[in-house]
Amino acid sequence: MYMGHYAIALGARRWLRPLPMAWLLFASIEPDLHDVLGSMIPGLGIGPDTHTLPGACVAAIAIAVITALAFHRAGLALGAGLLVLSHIAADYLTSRLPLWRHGPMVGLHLYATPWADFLLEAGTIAIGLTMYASSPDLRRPVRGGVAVIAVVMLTLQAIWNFGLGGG
Amino acid sequence: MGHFEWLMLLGFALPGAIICLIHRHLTRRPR
Repeated sequence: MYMGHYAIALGARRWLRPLPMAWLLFASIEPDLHDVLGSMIPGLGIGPDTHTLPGACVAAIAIAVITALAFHRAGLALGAGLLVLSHIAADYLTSRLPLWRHGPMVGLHLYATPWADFLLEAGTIAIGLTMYASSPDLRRPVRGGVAVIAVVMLTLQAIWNFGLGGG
Repeated sequence: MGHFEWLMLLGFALPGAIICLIHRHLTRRPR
């Protein structure tokens, strides 16, 4: 999954409003960033384990602990950890990934059918943004800002699905 | 780091920055 991860973070903000948006977005894509940064910084690298259940659980615990230390709220820590776990749960829909290192490969691999993946991600974006827009702490009207976010996310998702030959 | 990794970073950083900027605008308290 690509922009759907950010959509999940935007929707989850409804329950995690004290957390900075950048932290929510980061938590939602931690396994992907871990892949990239792990290739730059050897100490961070855990190889292909970033997208396995054990790897994601360790990352989720780490993010939850950091959140707890920084924000002193167990509920926020749990929410941030769940956002990390949502990453591989969503990726099992769009990709085929091992459950654990050398474990069985599971997943629907919707990337192989770009339209199906685009529709799933567009639906996730619509739900996530609708939940985000309903937050009571946003300045009204929110329509313009949310529309810009939607256009950016859908455009990048379309480029990912149809412009790069799929993921 | 190869081209794909840079593209992936950019692909997340660009929309992330836009979302954060708009969110900041939407949550700014009027003076």
